[in-house]
Amino acid sequence: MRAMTYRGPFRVRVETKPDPEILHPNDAIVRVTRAAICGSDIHLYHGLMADTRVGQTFGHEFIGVVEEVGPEVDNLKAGDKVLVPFNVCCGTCYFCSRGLYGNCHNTNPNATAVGGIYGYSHTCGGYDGGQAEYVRVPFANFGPTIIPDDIDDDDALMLTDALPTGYHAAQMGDIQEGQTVVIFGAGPVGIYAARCAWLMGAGRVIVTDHLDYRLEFVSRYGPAETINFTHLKDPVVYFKKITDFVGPDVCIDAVGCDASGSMLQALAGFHLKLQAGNAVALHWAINSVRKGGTVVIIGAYGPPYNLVPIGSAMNKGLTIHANQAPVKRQLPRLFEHIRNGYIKPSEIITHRFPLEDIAEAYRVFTSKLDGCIKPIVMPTAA
Amino acid sequence: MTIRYEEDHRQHSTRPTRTTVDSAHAKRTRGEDPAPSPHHEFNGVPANYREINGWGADLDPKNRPSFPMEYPSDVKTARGPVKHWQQPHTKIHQSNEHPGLTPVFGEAVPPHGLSGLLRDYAYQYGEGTTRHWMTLMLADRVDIVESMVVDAFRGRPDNYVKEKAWSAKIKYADAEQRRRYLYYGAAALGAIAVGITLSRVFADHED
Repeated sequence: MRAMTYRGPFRVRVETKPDPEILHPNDAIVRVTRAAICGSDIHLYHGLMADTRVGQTFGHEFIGVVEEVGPEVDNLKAGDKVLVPFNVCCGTCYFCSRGLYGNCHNTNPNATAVGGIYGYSHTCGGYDGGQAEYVRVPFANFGPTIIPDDIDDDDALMLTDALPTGYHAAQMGDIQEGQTVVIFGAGPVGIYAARCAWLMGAGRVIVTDHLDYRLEFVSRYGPAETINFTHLKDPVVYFKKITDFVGPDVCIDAVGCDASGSMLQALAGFHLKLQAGNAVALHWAINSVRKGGTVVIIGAYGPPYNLVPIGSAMNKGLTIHANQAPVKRQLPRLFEHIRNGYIKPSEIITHRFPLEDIAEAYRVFTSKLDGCIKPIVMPTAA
Repeated sequence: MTIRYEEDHRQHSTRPTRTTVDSAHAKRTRGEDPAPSPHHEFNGVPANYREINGWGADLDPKNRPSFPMEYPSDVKTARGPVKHWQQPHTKIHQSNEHPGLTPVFGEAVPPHGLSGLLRDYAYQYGEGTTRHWMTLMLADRVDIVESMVVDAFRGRPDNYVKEKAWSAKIKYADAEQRRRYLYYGAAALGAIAVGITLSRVFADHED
């Protein structure tokens, strides 16, 4: 099969690799019809995640058609059109049985700190991802969900990670009616988090980023108030001032380790690799939020650690909520929201590339070219 | 009495000016935030946020599928019930915080060469240690060099221009970016021209 492979920081190419095989009775093989490039794939692409090996295929957002199932898979059959949540999860371990599908204990031998994730380094289990023609899907009797007839393929693709993650961020904010929510980052997850904050009953949603075209998009799609932080001397002071010096009730870090906005953080994180990327968004979130407020970390950070003001978090009495989204839990409610017209996930898709041009897709996404918000790749015809 | 600050340091003084306004939250609904930057956009948000399509659909926590974050469960063991175990076909690294291999795992890229030895070393240490993660980061860098050499011998050498998709930076650049590239190109050509000229001048001088 043809598959994207990682070659080193900022370098990917398409190669011919062996087709995946059934390795466990609960496995399925899925022919990928659409795959997306996630903002967190960019962390891998930049070489910021430990144990990212040359030759791995990325891609944890994909939908496709079931080609083959293992003998223990009884709820799927060849020909079913499925969306595959990015979490590789068993559904029965200590953590999955409690609904923590992003923290499955049975799918990642390489680390206990994170569950298995498709195409996301060997730190996340060493699985090849969906930016390929075919992919192996473990625990297929639990994870993959048949796409309902009334859900569009592009919408379904966004339901594999980006939208559930944005929705999860808004939920973790524990938003009460009328509260002020500030979202750091206007990437796909930040955009969805802004939209979903209203569903939770927010009274004010503010998004900050350094890219005007993305802020312009979220101002309509959220909708949301927007502010480009490059025009501010100090974003933290600004958010205090526009909330009567109280501070926002909820701050959501929807950026993760690839943030912009601090030379010191960039030097320590990107260039010297002394911390897991640039944590300036989280730094701002902790400092901006009001005392007793909630900080949500939904942006991805790699190990081992980051420079963040944890002392301020303690002194301010903050609640910090963070987790990978348990996609499977969110899907029924998100299907309802799509059917009710509350959210149209596919509207953020701006670019489509054939698999063979995936290096170009990564470049356009990572360099923020051509107004790119969300690129998808088409490995095979639907 | 609250204070109006002008935040845009590119266009305005940072000295505060005082003005009389109501609460920020009260004023917001009228689009009259007391301290907005000139770059702060309210345009997309309706005056009454309750008019936003879907507003409050999940206001009731019962409608929030991840609230609370944990379900009640009777499962007491880390693995829970496991019926089948995947058999490894290659060396699988394992965190020393796991008692053994997990029921399923990926075999995307088996460890190899010097980078593989470094990974062997890293996985001897727990996830709470810097040695574990920093050795893995080092192994990743070694892996890049190893793979470059191995693939060159296999007849599949790295193509930096194509793999980095530099052409996309021109193909998808907007007018401003293209103008910037033009300036950079002109500056580079100018520097080369100056260099050549100077080298000829010095060469003539030595003659």
